[in-house]
Amino acid sequence: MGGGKYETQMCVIIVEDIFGKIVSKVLETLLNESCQLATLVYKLKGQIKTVLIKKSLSTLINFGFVTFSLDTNNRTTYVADSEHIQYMISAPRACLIAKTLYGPSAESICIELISQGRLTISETIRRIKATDETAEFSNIKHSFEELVKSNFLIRVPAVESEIHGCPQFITSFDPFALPTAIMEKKEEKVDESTDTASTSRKRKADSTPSDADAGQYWKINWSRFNGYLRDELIIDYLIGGGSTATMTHMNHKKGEEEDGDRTQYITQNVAHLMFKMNEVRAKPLSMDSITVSITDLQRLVRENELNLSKPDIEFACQILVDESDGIVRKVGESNGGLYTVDIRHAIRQICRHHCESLIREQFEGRAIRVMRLLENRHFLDEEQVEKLSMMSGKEAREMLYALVEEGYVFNKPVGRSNDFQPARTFYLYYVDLPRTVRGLVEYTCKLVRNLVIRQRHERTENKQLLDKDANVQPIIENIRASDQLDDASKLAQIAEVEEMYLPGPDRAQLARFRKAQATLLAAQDQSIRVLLAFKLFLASGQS
Amino acid sequence: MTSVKEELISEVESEAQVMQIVQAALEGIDMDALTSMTPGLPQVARQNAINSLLGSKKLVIQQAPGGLLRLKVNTSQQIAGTEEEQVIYGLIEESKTRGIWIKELRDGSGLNQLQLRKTLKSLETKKLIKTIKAVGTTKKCYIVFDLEPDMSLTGGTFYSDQQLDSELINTLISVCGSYASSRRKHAIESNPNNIQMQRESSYIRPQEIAQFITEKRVLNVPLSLEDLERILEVAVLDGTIERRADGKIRACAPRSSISPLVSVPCAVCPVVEDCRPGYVISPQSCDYMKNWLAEL
Amino acid sequence: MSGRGRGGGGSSNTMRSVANALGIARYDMAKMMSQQKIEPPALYPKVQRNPVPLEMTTDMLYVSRLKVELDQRMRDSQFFIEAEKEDEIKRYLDKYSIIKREKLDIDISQMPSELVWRRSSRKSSKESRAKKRKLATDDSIIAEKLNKLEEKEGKNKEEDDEDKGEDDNESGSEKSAAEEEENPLSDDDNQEEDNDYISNYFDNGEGYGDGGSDDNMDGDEY
Repeated sequence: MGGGKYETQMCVIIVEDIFGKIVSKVLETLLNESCQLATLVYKLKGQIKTVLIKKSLSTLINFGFVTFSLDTNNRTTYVADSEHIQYMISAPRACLIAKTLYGPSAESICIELISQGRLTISETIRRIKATDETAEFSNIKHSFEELVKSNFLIRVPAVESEIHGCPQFITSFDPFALPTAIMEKKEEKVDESTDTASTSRKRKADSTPSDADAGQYWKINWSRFNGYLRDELIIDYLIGGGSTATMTHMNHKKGEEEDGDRTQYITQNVAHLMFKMNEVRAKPLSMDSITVSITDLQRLVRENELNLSKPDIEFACQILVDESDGIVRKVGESNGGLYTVDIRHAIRQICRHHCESLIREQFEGRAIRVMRLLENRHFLDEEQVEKLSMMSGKEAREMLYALVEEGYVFNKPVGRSNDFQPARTFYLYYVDLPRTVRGLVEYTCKLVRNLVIRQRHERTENKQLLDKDANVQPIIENIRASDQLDDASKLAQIAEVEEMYLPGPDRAQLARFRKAQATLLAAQDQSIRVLLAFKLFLASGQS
Repeated sequence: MTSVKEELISEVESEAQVMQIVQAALEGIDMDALTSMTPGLPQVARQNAINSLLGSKKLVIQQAPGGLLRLKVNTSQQIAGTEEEQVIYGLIEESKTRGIWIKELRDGSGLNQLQLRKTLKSLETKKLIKTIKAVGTTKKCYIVFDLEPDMSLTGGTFYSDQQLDSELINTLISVCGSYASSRRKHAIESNPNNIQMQRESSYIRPQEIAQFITEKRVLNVPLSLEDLERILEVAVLDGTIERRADGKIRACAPRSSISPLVSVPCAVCPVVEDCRPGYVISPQSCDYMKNWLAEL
Repeated sequence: MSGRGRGGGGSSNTMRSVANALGIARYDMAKMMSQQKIEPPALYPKVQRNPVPLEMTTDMLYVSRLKVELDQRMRDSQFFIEAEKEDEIKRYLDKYSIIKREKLDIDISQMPSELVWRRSSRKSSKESRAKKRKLATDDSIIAEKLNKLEEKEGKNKEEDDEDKGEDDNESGSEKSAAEEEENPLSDDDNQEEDNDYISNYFDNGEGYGDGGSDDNMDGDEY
């Protein structure tokens, strides 16, 4: 897959964190070089038993981290898919999207599918009901159908035949066709499981073969989620930071807060609608521009029952055209006005934004000036940079050298004579965004790797406290649920128990740990989103 | 026959003929070329004419880079002084406001280092010429005393003592930015319901800013529009203002969002290259991580 | 370099002459050396700028909370694969950290048949394999090869030792090699099946340690 050194390390760390050292070692070996089982066994001889290698491989395949196919000599070859492993970091994002769009049942479905890799619909429903007795069968089924209809879930291709011991999968089938019989004979089973909740887990495995949809597995359609995440990234860029209150990009002043909120509401919704036009697309990560007319938007407003008038929509479009650095453009007058969202340009702008943000922190604001100057003028020598950026020769030179060292700017020697003698050679400086972004992909992978490692380190450091807390929590829950106590004495008892097992300093330390953990995980989530933008940019082949 | 012809061409005529040819050649003319262009003149007559013209300072002799001697029309002002002084002064005068470097003077005059030094010193004390240090170099340039040096030598308004006045530039950039953004703010506040008007009146002409800067006395000298344009160019690069096709400018909407990458210590870590899990510098033992998480 | 140069008289003379050639005065040299002695470079030099604080939105809080839950689910699941631990000393505290994992239960019909590890399922797959053998003979060759490899693995201790030398940065390797020495001829299948999944979840922190266990992550072999 051509991943770099740090991308490989990041993937290994991610898998080690959830499936342990053995699985990650097998994965690492495959990431370094795809191979057959026999080779893998040979390479790991003395380190991992064969049976564990087989189990690890099965697990990795189950989650889509490894794929297999027959090579020309009819041997099954195993290939690691580093992209797929990175989805583990954005997994909670996927659950959040499902929850926002289709409610809590959809969220539960995604959680089950993510933690099991693949499941039949019946298994999914049973699993959800095992953890949440109040969950309604029809409700879960409905959410499942909605997720499939919007392509967020996808069928695992069924096995068609077997050649040389390697299963061959059906290639032509509708990956979004739902089976008709779900949870056949479900009534009795569900009753049983509620009766004997303690044994429900064990029984589940036994009951699987009797399902009508047995063998029809579903999994998360990651590229669809990534397409959605991509749209979110662009919307965020257009109207500024999703759920924060600091959406200053549209620049609305205090004193007219209601107006401001209204404008924000309008632009935000119209921007979302523009992307809704093209939401379920054949290729979720296609870079084609979205074209949308005012009439289209009016129709979408009605469909989504939004409170937006035609002037509101026109107003929002105008703002978007005005403030989007050329991402949203007006292209015609038909159907009340025709607008286009330039996806390629948007991705490019987002990548530039991250580059510049990094430069600002690593150097200073004037480094961005140099960077943009070179972007506009393409090739400049030191003296030209100095003049046009209005910096002293020394400043400009130092800035250029620093930017070259960090890979934001590149230079090429131009000889006045063909012997490249230093005195007669000067350097032209230029910006090559794809090259810079390729470097930043590796940098971001290293950063995520470090965050995962640090998070695990924090967990290990606080293990004792976490164990203690895990023991205390059930006791507190018991007190809370008790019928014999009034609220005041409950609180008193809880405080007493806490004080006994987890004295003040411990609790404070635990709170610190939780905060640190949340930050480390949130930073991983955010960094993976940036990584997505970088990779989309590189995939789009722009220069 | 020839003797008759010799007599026919008078001294005055031959002088006029030579003068005309030399005047036509802007870069001067060497002897061979002059000879071939005056085939009607006998060698002696030509020689006499040239000597007479040189004597009356109507022509001068200059040494071209190849060592060739060239005749040129003497354009320089007559100064009281030696022959050498006159030659050097002429060269300096010719360089106008751009100034001339000592090496060029030596090549142009054919004087040796010692003579040249003496002559320059004498001209300087007579306050006929002065030296200027060009921006960004240590080269000394000579220029006629009464002339103001060219922008390329001084760097223009933004230079003081041959140094780029970074502080002044930064001040001007931020003045431009804050003026434009206050105008934009005002435009939005005074047209709350009309986005078209908000846009239109947040755009301003550069002249307005120039006027503002002059009124507020940010500079001791009036800011030329060209100088302001240079400042605006930089402000556009900095992303504080944007320019429309008609040349009007306005403040950019403040983009507050920053990349989440820079909230991770590794993004600004000076030792990130040496960071390896399990080594001395590692994510586990990292001080920056520790402080970052402790400050939450 | 300078550290070694300071060692013997001869080499310091050489350095003196090099310094002379470079035009470095004796005084400057001495000053430089003394400075080096006093200040070892800071491991983490002071930075002018701290990272920009990460603003936690409700989305991010949700994401981080759910990630904790998902990760824990994964670690407690059948897919967290561990080697069997023959820990002689049972600690009192262990019983708190022992978790009961589900057996690894993956639909093997979706997997290449060579990956089948379970005895019961292997029987069935052997049956099907017997049928297939008529069609594809290569299979049996691969299977034989694999079996041979597995046997070798048990017998060939010498080779194991060689491997150990190669991989001594991998702390796990010695452990699992040692395990195999204890049961050199074990058929993995019977042994694993029943007790493989009860084990110390936290690995006494060893598996998560900071030490050498991560070395293989950063090797130069990439």
